[in-house]
Amino acid sequence: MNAFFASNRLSAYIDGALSDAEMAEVEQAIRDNPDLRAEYSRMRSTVDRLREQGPIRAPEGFSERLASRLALEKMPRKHLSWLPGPLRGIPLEVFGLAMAALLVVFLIQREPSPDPPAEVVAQKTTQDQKSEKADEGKPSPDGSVEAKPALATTKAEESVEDELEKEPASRTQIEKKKQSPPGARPQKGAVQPEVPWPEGAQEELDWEDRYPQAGRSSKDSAPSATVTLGPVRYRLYPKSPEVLWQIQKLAKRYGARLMTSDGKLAKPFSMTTEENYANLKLQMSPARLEAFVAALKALGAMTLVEQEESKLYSGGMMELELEVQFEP
Amino acid sequence: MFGLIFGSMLRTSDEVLVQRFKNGDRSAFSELVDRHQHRVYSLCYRWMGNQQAAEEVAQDVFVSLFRSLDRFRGDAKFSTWLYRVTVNHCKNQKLYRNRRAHGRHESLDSAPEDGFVRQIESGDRGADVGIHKSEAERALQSGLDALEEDHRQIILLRDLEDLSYDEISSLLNVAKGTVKSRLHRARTELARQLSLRMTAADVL
Repeated sequence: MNAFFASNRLSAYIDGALSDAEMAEVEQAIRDNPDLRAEYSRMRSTVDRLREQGPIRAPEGFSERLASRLALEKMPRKHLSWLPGPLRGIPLEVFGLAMAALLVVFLIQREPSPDPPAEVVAQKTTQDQKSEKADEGKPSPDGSVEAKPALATTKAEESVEDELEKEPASRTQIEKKKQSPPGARPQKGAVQPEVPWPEGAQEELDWEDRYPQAGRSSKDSAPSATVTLGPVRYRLYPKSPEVLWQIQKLAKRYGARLMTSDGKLAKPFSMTTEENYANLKLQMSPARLEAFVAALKALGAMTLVEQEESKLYSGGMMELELEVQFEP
Repeated sequence: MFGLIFGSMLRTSDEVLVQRFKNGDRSAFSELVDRHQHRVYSLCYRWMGNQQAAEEVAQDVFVSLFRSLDRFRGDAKFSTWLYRVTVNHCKNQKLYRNRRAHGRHESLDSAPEDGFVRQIESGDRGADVGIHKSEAERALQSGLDALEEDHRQIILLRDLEDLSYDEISSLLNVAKGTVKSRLHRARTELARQLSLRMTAADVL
């Protein structure tokens, strides 16, 4: 071993931290090289002087002074003492991650609403808003400004919409099982199809300004004499298999609650030749019935099946039954 | 002899005391203090260089330990953990005091007695001189103070506190080879510092 390598091992040599062979080689190098011997001697005496020092004892009264400081300290709260013993050693970060993972699993386990994704709804809503805004303030042929279609929903109507959105998914699932054979309906989480709006529907939807009672809430106007109170039953022969999506959209627009005939929340689906019949119920403000029915007529041929005597339901709502018969 | 053997056998381990403290036994902490106060104080003294600062830091170490002992999981030996806490406190305090002293120096730069003030502050021991040290000890402390922090730290742990290479490796979170090479450089530098001081003393 040359002097350079031996020099680099002097410290480990002093500590006896080399292999037997290395110890012997360093020892030989020290013996043979005077410079290395001098270097070893300096380092050895330095280490010896350090080790002679020994530990310094804490001054008198150290522990008493410390005790008086500690007397002011409260015993630390038991760390996650409510957890079983083996879990207490888990670092908080890991524990937090595990809790987050559990939360994610819980949320995934919940049945997602078959409503279309937010972006589809947002797109539709934006389109609707645009068309509404375009209609607002549009001058009529006679130069006067058209009355704003009274489509703004009242708080009561908004709550109806909220209820529609918040309807428990499990209910929907049961209903789907009852109503549809396998494969006939959109699967869980299906996206609402892009529904082509029937030709002329927009004109029909904009007709409310011709009917003064349309769009008014039952709070600010009593039902006019021309509005029939339910239950009233219509049959609709739609032009498009996507009619139920369109009805849902109209129902939302007119503040109606769309339900199946047995009173459960109705979820739209694309009609087929196998699943060509749906019996729906709608609860809505009597003031909007006529406008709603007129709008429905844009979706296909409609016939009045039955009309009973005027009858108001709780909360001033009335009931409309709608049989949808799809025959392509 | 037998008494010593039985005594060490009967002596409760640090880990058991920690567990007792976690279970709410305050006296277990006092026992830990009695057991480790001299080693903690010694390390603080070597690091800080004066009695007052050493006691202040050592007490802070134990107070901090009291507050955080429930988080000690027993992955390492308690003594290693305690050393790590002590080293961290010493580093922080040294840094803080150096900055404060540096700030004071700057504000006093224009004062005529600047040299005198600087001498007092850099000596930083004042009344302690003579309490613990002989001349040789003072030279040694001065040599240690002149080392880089990494070098001073490893010499304190190895040559004054007598920790093994493995313990130092675990405490500083560095490889064992790094401990060896760093210790070699630190000892070489300390030897050089001491020889410089001895030469200066001879000249005077």
